[in-house]
Amino acid sequence: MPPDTPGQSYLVLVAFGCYLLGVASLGIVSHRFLKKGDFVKEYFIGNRGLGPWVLAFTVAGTAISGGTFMGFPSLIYSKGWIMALWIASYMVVPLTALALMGKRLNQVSRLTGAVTVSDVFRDRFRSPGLGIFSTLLILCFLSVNLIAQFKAAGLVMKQALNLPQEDLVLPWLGSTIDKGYFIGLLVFAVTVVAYTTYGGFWAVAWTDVLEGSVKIGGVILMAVLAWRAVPPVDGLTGLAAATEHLRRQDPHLVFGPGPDNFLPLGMAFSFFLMWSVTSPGQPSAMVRLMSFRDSRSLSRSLLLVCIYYVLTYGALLVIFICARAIFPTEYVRGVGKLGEPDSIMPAMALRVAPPLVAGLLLAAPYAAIMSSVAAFLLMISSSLVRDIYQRTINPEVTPRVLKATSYFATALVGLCVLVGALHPPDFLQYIIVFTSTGMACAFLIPMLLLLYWRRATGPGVLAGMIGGLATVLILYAVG
Amino acid sequence: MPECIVNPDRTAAQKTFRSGKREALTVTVIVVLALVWTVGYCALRGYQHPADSWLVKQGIARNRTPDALSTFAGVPDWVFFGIALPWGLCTVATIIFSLRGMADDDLGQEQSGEDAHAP
Repeated sequence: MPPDTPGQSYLVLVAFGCYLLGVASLGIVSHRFLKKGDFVKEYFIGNRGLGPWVLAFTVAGTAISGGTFMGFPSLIYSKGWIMALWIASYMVVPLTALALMGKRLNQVSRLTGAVTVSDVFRDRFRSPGLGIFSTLLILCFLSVNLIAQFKAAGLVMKQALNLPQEDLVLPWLGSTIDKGYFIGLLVFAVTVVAYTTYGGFWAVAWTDVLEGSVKIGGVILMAVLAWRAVPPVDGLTGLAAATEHLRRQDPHLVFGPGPDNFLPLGMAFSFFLMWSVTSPGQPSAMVRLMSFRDSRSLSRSLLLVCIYYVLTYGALLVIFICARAIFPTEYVRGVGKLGEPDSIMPAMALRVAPPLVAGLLLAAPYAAIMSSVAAFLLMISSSLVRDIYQRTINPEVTPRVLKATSYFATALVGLCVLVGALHPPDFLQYIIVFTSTGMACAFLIPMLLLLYWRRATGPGVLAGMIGGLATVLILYAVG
Repeated sequence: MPECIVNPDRTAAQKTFRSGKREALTVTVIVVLALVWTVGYCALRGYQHPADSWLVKQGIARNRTPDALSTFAGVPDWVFFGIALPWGLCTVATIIFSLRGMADDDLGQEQSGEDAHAP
């Protein structure tokens, strides 16, 4: 649901503008850090200097993407309480994402001087082939994922700012595009590519802190407001009233497997495993584990991330269970008169909060997409600059050229993804799930064996990567 | 420690390797326990079972009907005891693990330049 009045649009725009200004400022400040020390280490992994707070926010920020604030709320609204079971494995995700291999991966990357995930594979087995193969996998998966994330960001911006729906001709591409989506996409791309290119890893990490604060503050405030906005029923108020509303609307909303047999038991089991292993299996998460300062930073960030997830997912469940009580049918697919379930996040923000606060709440999904995109962008450029150019094509490259190449590669990747997102494919969430599971299947077990099994070999790890990748591709092809 | 990794202090590195491995095993145990509790409890108490099924007759599972919804703290009871409670316990376990269970190990000195990739 877009803002109803020009005044609302204006206030939402002010909130968005303040947020983007904060992000840009952090990018500029971060750039000052790049002028000292080893440029590549500073630009791509922050010279392994992340403390507990920044590590916690950047791990959480990379894991919580646009889907958490767009697709997940839509599913809670549509499917009810079964979504608590769907997301339940986030109770162990902090442990799997940080403690499963954090300390050991950081140790190995220090001892080898590794800057990228591919570096770790290459140096552990002294196998350039393994390094290049892992680089190509990361490039393929992340590029596709980035296009999907850019599209999501363009749509969020268009919807939040109520940008116009009209055709715009792109003469150099010989095609037309929705003008509102194009403006939203352009604002997003310019912001995120600029601060990532200019500030490097520190810009990404510090904006993760800002974005994480916006997200957590936004959802907690919204949960309180949503709780109070539920219409009382039979003397019940708040969440109890919302649960009773859901039971009366459709009993499937309060029992498993949910409406339309949404989460059969086998699927519930799979989802629990899937969330807990995809998080540590992402190369972007592994890079964070290579960049913290010491063991104490890791243990303290584990504590922070676990509290962050409890608050975020608990608040999201409360908000959108209450949303179903507040909007019983208005956004139900095929029935609702106000829109599709995907619109429930902005609808709730504008319903329960004053416009300026609503603007900040609407910045939450935008922030989530931004932090994921920035991390992926840097991953791709580090793959190009470090793994392909510096370590394969030109090992004698001078620091000055390397610096210029890093800036150029990051900006170029951003531009290419922007062009790809002008006419992106449909089924965003499926693309994101496919690339995330694909990377987890290809990288998690090989990395665990690399770190903990003394008898692991290069060919064995390569076979593990190919096997994981093939399994995902075959399962998608079959089903 | 793999031989291709430059390692000036093998004893400290071995200690970090061992505690890292022990912590990974602890994490795995917690994940398995959480999985069994959460999915198991919700399967028995949150999903539909025929009234004449063995599980219901033994009192292990419940025959849920729309009128048989019981809540705890405003949420369906199976959500509270099957998800919120283990999530709370996992949070406590994670906090204890982060404060007491994780050793403050030396992660080694950063290698740089040619040394880092030397055979």
